[in-house]
Amino acid sequence: MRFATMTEKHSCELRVPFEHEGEAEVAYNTLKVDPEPPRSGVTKSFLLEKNMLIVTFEAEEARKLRVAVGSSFDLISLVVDTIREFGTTPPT
Amino acid sequence: MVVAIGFEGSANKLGVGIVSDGVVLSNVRHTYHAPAGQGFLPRDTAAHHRKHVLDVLRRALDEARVTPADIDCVCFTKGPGMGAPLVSVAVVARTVAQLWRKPLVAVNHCVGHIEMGRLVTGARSPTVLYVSGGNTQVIAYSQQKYRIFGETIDIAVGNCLDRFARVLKLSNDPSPGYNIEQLAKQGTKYVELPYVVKGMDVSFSGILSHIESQGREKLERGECTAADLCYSLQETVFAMLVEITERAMAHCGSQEVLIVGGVGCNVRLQEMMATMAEERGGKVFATDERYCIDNGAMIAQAGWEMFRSGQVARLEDTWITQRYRTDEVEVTWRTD
Repeated sequence: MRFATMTEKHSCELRVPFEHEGEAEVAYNTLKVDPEPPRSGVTKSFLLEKNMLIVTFEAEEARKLRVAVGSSFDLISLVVDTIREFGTTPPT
Repeated sequence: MVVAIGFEGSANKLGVGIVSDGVVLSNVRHTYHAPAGQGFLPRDTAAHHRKHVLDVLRRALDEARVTPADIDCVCFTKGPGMGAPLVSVAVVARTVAQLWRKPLVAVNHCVGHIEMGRLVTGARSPTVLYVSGGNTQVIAYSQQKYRIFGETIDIAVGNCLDRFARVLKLSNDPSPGYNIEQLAKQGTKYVELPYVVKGMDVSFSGILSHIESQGREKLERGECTAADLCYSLQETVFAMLVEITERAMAHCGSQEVLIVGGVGCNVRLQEMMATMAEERGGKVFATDERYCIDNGAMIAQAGWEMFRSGQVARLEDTWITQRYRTDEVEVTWRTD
């Protein structure tokens, strides 16, 4: 995780490694769909680098940045748990 | 055979259900109860859904005795509802759809209620009263749309009841409305309240403010009991709903009323509606708490209809939306 304060804007970058590229891709496809709420004042972008999911946040207010990063964390761990529990298709 | 799995979490109920050609194979629900005197907040509700959704999903699969391979489509609530809870559940639906390589179906919550009501009761083309904590609408089907004939212009009827339950510090378990209904049975005195029908629309916020201030004062002076207030509130708001439903029936020439949504399990509302319907030579269709209250099977059932008529969503189009009106949905699965 990397935090930065550039001039007025606050930003944060999360780098989440997955076991396989396929899993990172599932998480990427799942999480990039919902835009941040319009009034959150946060812009969020997703990037996929092999098995690494990279999420970048930018906001004017640190408080709003924290909220957005926190809720993204919650959703990322939910996706990870879902993959862990339902990812391997049982032998038919 | 088409098997659909449905994920619901637009409010405080989390549900996963599996439906196969009109048969409910499983319908697991886990409800978040806020402390007495408080309403459920989006943050806490979303945390509840995230905590329990995988367990609820596992139980739904086990009870239905199906494996992911048997499933044809993954349906989820796109909206309307609270943002954070909706996202928490949609994220799981999107993830499993990719893991299992199944198409996604994005379902309107209100349409889910209507389709489940039609399936369970066998009502063919009823006038629908959809009453819950977040919605109050009178709906009738015409030309590929569920059209809204009347609705609340401020808060939902269930919200009015829930918030009055908070004034009385009634428990939120199993639901505030249920506890009001039970207490209302002991009411003997009708306390006059504003009656607010405006054309085909209704309004509840003024009634709530009135009973919150005047009702509380009467209670403190010992002029009435909490039970009297519950009774009076129910009689008033339900009479308003029956009035606009009757007008919609008259307009559509319809003989059937279907009551859906969480407030739809209220037996007093069902009785009042039945009296009106019988006077018109019509019939009321209602479901019990399994299907009235938000659940996963209703999303699966509406999704099943949508899937069979070719309505699947591309992954990038599966964003959730807090506002999603019933009449925005193209009802491609009905031919009447």
